[in-house]
Amino acid sequence: MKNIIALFVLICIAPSCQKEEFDIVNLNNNRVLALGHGGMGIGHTYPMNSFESILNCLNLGADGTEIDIQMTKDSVLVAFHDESLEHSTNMSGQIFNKKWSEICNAVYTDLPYTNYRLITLDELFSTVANQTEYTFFLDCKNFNPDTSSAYLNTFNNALVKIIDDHHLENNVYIELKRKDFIKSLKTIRPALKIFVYNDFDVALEFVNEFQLEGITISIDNISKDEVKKAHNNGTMIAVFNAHSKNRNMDAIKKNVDFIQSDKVKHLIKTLK
Amino acid sequence: MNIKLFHIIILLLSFSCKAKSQLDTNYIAQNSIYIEAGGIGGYGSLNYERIIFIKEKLKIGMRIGVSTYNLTDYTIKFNPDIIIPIAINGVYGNKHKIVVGFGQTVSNIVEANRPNWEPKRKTNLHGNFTIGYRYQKDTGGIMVSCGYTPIIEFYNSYRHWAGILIGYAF
Repeated sequence: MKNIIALFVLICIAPSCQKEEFDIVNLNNNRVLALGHGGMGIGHTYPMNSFESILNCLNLGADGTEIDIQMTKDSVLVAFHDESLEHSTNMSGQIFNKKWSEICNAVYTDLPYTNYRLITLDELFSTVANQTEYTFFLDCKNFNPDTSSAYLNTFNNALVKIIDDHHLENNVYIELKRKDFIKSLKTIRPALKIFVYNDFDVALEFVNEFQLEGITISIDNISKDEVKKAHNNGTMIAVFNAHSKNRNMDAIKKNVDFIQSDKVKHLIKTLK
Repeated sequence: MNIKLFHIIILLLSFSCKAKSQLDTNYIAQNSIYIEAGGIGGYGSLNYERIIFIKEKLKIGMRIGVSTYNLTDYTIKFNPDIIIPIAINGVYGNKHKIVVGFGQTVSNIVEANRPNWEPKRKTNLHGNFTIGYRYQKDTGGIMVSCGYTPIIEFYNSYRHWAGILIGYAF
């Protein structure tokens, strides 16, 4: 009887001990990079894009992280996701209408009893040790209705300055959605690596038109065949919406190049 | 008087009160332990409650709990957030009871400290209130409860919040 129980336990435990092997073929030296989504991702106790969330993600052993960025009225780049401050902080209004001095004390309100604050990109990269060893995806959130070339240049110059000041040109990817932004940034700094964020077919057209590095897309909106098609075009693929363990696995099996995950620990453990 | 100090004095005084049962012949479970999802502990807490006053259907209990968000800080060192909800709850009824309570939550949370961005513990006090329903037999056993549990964070901002709990009275 004891032997039967032991055998049963062994059968139950054995599958969980197996580490799944992946036959990854991609443009990243056949390696999927494990990135955080705004740090530790949606649903973690640290708010997305907070210093604590980003540092937690990097210290866990992630290859890097995606960070959402917006620009204040006085041209300071801030790590923040939402269109309005009131959805997740104790302040209201939009970042492009505020000076940094007006919002520097804003506190995330996702979680009771906490006081996690907003951070500028300059503060972040000044603090992260060995920042050139990580991969950063900077998702440019442009909610400002001003589409003038002057505004685009101001935004992109602020971005280029941060990249230059912190020597990040080789390990930063810029995520943009709009054609005018891509054009403007390509004019200012052609060597920067840009990912376009759009539906697959539209994005592929952008990639070919502007000689971009890759496409950022939801894991739901791309198939393994489309990843292969992109790779055959010399285009890398980064996916987001990997907010469960199954989605992490799905993304790996699709041979994407970068996964921006909300389940960072699981992704790191699976890929290492 | 400072509102925080007032709450602390009320809570300390309540600790020194002895339970006075007027139903000496019937056993009344005066202790309970329970876990609460949401509620005044934040996302969830483990709690102990002791009845300190009984008069017919009215019972007044003192509650203390413990909760955390993260056991390690963002540098991955063991450095847990600590949240201690403390409250006085009045319950009225037989098996089906109304619960009304108030108290104070002590939070000791690890955050990045400007300008050096090193992890630093910060202790703060917050007010809490409870109004809800509780199923609990006087003689003990399983208890369940749900309620509206707003929090006055940092005695500065009002947060709508709710909790549901399950536990055992003995």
